Amino acid sequence: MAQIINKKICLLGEYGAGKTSMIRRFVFDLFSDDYITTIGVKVTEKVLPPIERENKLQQFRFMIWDIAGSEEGKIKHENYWMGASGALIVTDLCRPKTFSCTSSLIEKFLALNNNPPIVIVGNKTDLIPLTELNSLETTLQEMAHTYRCPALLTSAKTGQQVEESFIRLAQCMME
Amino acid sequence: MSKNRDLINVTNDQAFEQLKALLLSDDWKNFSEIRDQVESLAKEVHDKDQLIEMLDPIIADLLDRKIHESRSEMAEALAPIMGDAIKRQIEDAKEDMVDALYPIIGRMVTKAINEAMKKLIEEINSRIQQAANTRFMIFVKSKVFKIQPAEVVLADGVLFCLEELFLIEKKSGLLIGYQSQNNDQSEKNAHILGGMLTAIRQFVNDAFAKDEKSNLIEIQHEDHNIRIDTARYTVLAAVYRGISPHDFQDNLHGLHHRIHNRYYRRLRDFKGETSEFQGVSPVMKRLFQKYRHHGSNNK
Repeated sequence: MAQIINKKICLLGEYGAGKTSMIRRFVFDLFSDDYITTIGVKVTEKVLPPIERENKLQQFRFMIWDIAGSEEGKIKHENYWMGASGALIVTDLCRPKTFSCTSSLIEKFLALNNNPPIVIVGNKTDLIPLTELNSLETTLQEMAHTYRCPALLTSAKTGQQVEESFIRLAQCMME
Repeated sequence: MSKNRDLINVTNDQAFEQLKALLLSDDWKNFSEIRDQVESLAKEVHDKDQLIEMLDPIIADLLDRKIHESRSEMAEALAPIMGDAIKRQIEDAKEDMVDALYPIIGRMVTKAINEAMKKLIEEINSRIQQAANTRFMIFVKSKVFKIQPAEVVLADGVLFCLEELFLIEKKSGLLIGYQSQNNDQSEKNAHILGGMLTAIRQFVNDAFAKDEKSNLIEIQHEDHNIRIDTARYTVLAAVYRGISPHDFQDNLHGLHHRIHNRYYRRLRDFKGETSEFQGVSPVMKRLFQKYRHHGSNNK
C-alpha cells in the first residue's frame, strides 16, 4: 500500500488565467469560490494516483491553495505562499504579454520557499489556433528551461493535461 | 346742428352705460368677489404659515385615506426616511420613545429570557440525567460548596461540548493530527478545514496584526467557538460549543506543549509525512476523555 504524503501546493498566475476553472473538476472541494475574492485564497484537496519510483509506491495528497491572481505583475497575498512544497504556475495562452509578469512571479515564489519544484502551465489551448500554438509552446519551453522545470499545455475547458500537470509536479517532488 | 348731434351722442352714451349697468351689474359683483378670493388664495398659498393653517385640518384625513387606498405605495415612499425619522425622534425625545416602545420591547425581552431559561433548564436536566458519576460529582460539589446543583453545573461549563481538535503545521496548514467526538465524515473534510483555518489565520494576521508575534486566538460563530493555541511549528485548534470550563484553556495549551516538545525535531523537519505523528492522536483523544462528562454526546 502506498504511503500518503501531504503537500501544500500553490496555484499561481495572473488574474483570469483560468486557475480556478482548471482545478474545478479535479479536486475535492468544500467551500465557495467567493473566498478567493474575499480573503484571497481557497483551499481544495487532490489525492493523486500512486506513483512508482525505485520500486516504491508513493501517493500524494495535494492541498491546493488557489490564490487570487495578480494583475499586471502586481503580486498580492505572498503570505499564502509560505510553506508550499511546489506550485503550478498558470499562464493564459491568449495573453502572451503577461508571460513576463509570470517570470517575476516565479522568481519571488522560488525565493520565498527555498526553490521548490514548479510546473509551468499554458492554459486555454482550446482558444488558440493550431498555427499559433507551436510558437507559444516554444516561448513557454524557453521559460521552463530558464527555471529548469517542465511546461505543459492545458485546457480547463476540455480537461486536457490538467491531471498530468499535477502528476508532473508530484514527480518533480520525488526527484 | 352740430350741437344737436353732440347732445344726441351724450344721451346715447348715458343710455348705453345705464343699459350695461342694468345687464352686467350682477356679473361685475361676482367677478369682483372671485378676484378677491383668488388674490386671497394666492396670498395663502405663498405664505407658508397660512398654507399650513389651511391644510392642517385635512392632512390627517388625507394621509389616512391614502394609507387605506394604497398601503404599499405609502410604505415604499416613507421607508427611506423611517430610520432617520426614528433616530431623530430618539435624539429629540428619548424619554417619549422609551415610553412608547417599552410595552413592546419589555414583552420581547421577557419572552426571549423565558425561552432561554427554559432551554437552559432542559439542557441542565438532560446533562444531569446522563451519567451517574456526573450526578454524584454534582451532588458532592453542591454539598461541599453549599450551592444548588444547577449552580455547580453552570460553574463547570455544562453547556460545553468539545467537538473537534486539529493539529496543524503552522506554515503550510497541513494537518498533522485530528480528533473528533464522533463521525468519520468530518475527518474526510479535516484536511481542507485545517488548510482554510490556516488561510484565515494568515489573513487576519496580515490584516490586523501589529507585529509578527501576535496571533489569532479565538473565532466565534453563534454558539460555536474555535480556540487556537499557537506554538513554534504547530497550531492546535479546538472546536467547541458553549461555555468552556475554567481549566480548558490551560489544558489545551498543556496538551499542545506536550505534543510540541515530544515531536519537536520531526515538526522542525516536517515535509508532509504524517505517518511520523501516529502517536499524536491518542494524546489528543485524552482531552476528549477529560471533557466527556461535560456532555460530549449532546449534539
